[in-house]
Amino acid sequence: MDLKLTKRLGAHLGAATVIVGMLATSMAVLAQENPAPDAAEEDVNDPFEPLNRAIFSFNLGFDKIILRPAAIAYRAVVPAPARESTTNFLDNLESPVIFLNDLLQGKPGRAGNTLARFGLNTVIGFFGFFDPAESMGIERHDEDFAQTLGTWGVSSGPYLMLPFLGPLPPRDTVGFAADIFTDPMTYILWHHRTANLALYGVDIVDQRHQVIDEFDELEKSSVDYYAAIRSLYRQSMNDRIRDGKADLENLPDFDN
Amino acid sequence: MTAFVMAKQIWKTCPILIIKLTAAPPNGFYLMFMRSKFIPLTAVMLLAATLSFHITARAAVVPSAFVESLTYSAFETLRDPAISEKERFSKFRALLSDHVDMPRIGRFVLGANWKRADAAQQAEYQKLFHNYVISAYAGRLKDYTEAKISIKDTVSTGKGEHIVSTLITHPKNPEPVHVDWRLRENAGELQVLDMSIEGISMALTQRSEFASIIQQNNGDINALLTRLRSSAGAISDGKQVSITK
Repeated sequence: MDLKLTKRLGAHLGAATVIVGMLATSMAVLAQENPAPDAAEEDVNDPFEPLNRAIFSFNLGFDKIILRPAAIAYRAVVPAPARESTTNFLDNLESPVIFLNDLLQGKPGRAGNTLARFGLNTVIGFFGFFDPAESMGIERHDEDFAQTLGTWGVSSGPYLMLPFLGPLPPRDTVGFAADIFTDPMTYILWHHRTANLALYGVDIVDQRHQVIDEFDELEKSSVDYYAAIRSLYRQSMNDRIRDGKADLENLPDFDN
Repeated sequence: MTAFVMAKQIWKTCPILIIKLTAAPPNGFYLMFMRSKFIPLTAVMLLAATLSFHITARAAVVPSAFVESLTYSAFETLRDPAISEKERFSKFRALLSDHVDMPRIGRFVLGANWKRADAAQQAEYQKLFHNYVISAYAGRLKDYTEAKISIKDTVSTGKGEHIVSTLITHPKNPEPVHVDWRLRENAGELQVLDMSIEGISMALTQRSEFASIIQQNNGDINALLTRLRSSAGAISDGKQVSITK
């Protein structure tokens, strides 16, 4: 499941005013919240559930009518190598934000990795369309400001589902906004609104098309899709905050 | 079940042994036997040693070998074109019953509601849960039957539990998927307790879904049973269980 999708969806709106408004609200909510939920009992922290469910239905509708068909068309029309190059190119553009957050999390090794990848892929990889760094064994990892806040010990706060944006609890909304403001592309394309929107559009479709089958299958096989997505989102966020390392201290307790 | 893994190990080890033997620095003693039957004999002996090692290893159940053979059997069952959908279903069910601790997982997934349920509800729930898992996972795994699994490492957490980290690589997917298998020794046999895909525990996710359904129906456990029953009905109608594409 690629949850970067939510971020990209949000970027698609490109409306700084909306983001700033959200940021303010989120800060207020964040201030009131909230002890870190026990990993095993995380299913509770959703005080706005009825509203969240309504927004989720709206998002699903948007996905069914516009996003998913676009992703399917993209997969059908564009040949696989071109799609892969597009993914590489878009991934490479995320490097500055990843690099910044590697540093903010005090991980110089990973920052060096990101920097090396960016250099190699931009220069040898033809502006990032190819990923020679990967074949040299320098593997990609992702970071963003929401994860950085997580490593600093900020808990996510109550679950929030935002229109178009998907699951974005307060901490992650703040992170999401910070990512936009720390992304050089935001400033490079500041006065090129069409180019910016086109880039976001491609990015969203690219993200969505990578998980068509997975989400189809998940929706089909869940008994409560909303609750499944909520749990997946939280667990995935926590996993990314831990950089994919299993949390052996807090394994679910199967004996009580 | 581990026959496949054994065969593969032997196949892997065998050429290495021969290369090692033939590439050893020649000294007088070694040269004496160079053209004799020494090499094949030694090879056979070492092979036998490897074999017996694997047999002992199997008796003690090596967690990584368990995961390899289980995924092999599961993928094999899901893709085998020679068997009918009904056979596939019952083979997959048998795999789950034998190698996955379904009763314990079922209890965990129902969470606090398990204790609130009466004996009849518990019994029916376990049966329905079993069927639900078969249909859900047959579907979720069917796209991965061509995948390759490689073991990264095994951590033993004590209490007879092991976490086996694996990378699953699919020809369609450029990036490998990281799957952790949580195993527990039950009466000397390893069984799967949970499976984490990119850090997402399947048991926790399921628990969250079930809790949500019960909560939405004001704590009525029967609401969940009804929901599971209708998905079980879909299974027996063959609607959801078309495991192959």
